[in-house]
Amino acid sequence: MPISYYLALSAVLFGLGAIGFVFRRNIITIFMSIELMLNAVNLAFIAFARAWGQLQGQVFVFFVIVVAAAEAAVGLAIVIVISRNRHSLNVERINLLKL
Amino acid sequence: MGVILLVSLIKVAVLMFFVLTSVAYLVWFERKLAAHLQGRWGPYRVGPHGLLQPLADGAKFLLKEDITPAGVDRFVYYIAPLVTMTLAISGIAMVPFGPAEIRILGVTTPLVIANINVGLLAIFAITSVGVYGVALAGWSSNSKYSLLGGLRSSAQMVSYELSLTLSVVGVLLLAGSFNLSELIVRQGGFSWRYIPQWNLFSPPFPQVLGFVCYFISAIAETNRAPFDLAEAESEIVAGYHTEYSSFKFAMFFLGEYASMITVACLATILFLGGWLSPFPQTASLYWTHYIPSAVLLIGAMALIVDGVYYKGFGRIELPVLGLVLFALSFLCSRPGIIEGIQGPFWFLGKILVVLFVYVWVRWTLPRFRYDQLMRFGWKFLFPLALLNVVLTSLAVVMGK
Amino acid sequence: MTLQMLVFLVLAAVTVAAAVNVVILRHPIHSAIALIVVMVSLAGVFLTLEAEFIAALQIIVYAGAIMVLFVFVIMLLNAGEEERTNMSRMARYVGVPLAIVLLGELAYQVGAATFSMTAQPAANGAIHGLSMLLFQDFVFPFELTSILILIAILGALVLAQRREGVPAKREQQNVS
Repeated sequence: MPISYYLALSAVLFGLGAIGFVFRRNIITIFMSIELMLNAVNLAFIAFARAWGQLQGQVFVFFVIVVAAAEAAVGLAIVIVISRNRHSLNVERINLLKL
Repeated sequence: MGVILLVSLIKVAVLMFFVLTSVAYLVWFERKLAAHLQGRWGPYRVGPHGLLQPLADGAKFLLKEDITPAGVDRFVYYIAPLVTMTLAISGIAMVPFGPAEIRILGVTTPLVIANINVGLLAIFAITSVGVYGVALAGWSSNSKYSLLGGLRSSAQMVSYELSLTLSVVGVLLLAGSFNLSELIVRQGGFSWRYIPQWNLFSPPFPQVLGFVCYFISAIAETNRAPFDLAEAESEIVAGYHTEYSSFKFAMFFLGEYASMITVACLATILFLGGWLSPFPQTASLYWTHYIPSAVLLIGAMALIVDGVYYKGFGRIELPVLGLVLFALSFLCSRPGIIEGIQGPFWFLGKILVVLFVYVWVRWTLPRFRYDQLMRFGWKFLFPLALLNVVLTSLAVVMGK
Repeated sequence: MTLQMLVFLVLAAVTVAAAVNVVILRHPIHSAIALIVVMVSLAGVFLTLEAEFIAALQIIVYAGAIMVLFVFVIMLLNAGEEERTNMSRMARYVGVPLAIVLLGELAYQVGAATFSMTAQPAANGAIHGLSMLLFQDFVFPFELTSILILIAILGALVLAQRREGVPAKREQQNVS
């Protein structure tokens, strides 16, 4: 199976994640689109790891997953604090420095 | 290629039937055991010794009115019990039941549906995703008891998952593989000629700590007493499955018992030697190969004797069942079958012992309060599992 | 159409359909469920690429822990559906078609490119090779990520706790 099929899938997922990031208004959905983009990148890494027969790609995916976990934890904590202050999850209402 | 697919489908169908029947009769087993522990009889009237009680319960669940409360999120409300039950049953696919290979339709296949190289990780993956059934059920029911129960239940499951997976690392260090069949094979052999080298008493470092950690985490993971605050009747109505009726509730119920069976299977494979016999396989101890037929023979005689003195319809059924067991016992001593039945017999025996302890613990110990539960999981079990990993790796390194 | 191609097509179709659902569905919980489906089917794709350990890791860590965090936060914040607004005319008639065209072009160009593949999977199993790499060549980043996780835990704890003396205000229904 040519590797380019897997890369096409990865490109589609990344594009969908980018579309979601730009078009959506709920901060948590934006966050989930970022996770979608990270997943697309993981797929590309694994596909290339298989293509070249090396395992460094899988090591990178390991680190990407760990970093995504840390980032999700801190990012969601920030979202909780912001929503407590502004009482809204709509990014268009979080556009002023002062309430 | 097509024949192999067909053989796999046959194995899946047989195993599904076996698992669903076991889950139904596990409920009967628990009710009888709980009753006898409490000095009463338990189900007795529906069929002889209550043996048809699961069928009656199934009919009740199917025929009850199916209520959907107002204001629920329909899609999530419907898929939550589906997710729970599907994941609970799929865990059994990775479990090997015996070493022998059987021939179906001319193809020789092992006694396991999917013998993948990361079998242990696959079962843990299925357990991790099972948290969603509980969380989504609690949230979608649009009720305070459900939401609170669902959040607490899923937080508890996620916390105890950590010590569950960590307590198994000791076994992995000793065996060096994630493949379940290989884990069992490496527990073969006998130290001092008579003590089996199961992981519970294995030579470099007996995994007693690991087993205790695993068992306690498994009870918490399946939301059973004494860790069932989030779904106990006297505490929070019924927790995350308050608003579910008839068959959807049955799916949660069956899912809980199916995950109990999966966890018991995993405990026997990892710590109790899986399908290995506790007797050394020497020529002088060849009579131990007749233990399965002996057990079935005793069961048959007990059923026939009991049936003769039974009042009511059981007079006919129990002796018939006894005769069936007698035929099975005869079958198990024939030369073709006797080698093949050893593995599954010991495996099922050990699972029964583990399930017995499971039910025994439920009806003996009082419940933990939620904060005590979380403190126990994070501050006691998790460091204990870490200690087990450190000690086991020390033992392995010093043994080299 | 080999079996491998068929399996990949089915998994890819499920992944793309779920990813489209993540972006389109209005309630964050439905998007979260769709994202979980994406991750599980991606784990299936990883299995076809002979990365079994990473597939199991993806399900256990990504779909089984990180997404649980997302679902808990959505339930905690009581996030409701996004309000339905008509997009500006520019977005609706120019933006969305352009986005789809861009996506199609990207997929086509990447898919049509030919990469020379040596295609030799790791000899004694991916787990053995992976752990050798992780603990010999990449041991420093490995230890660094454990410190990173510690920092993340502390950060999340400090950020999300309620301050002393501030009475917990009743969270109003979130208008998102």
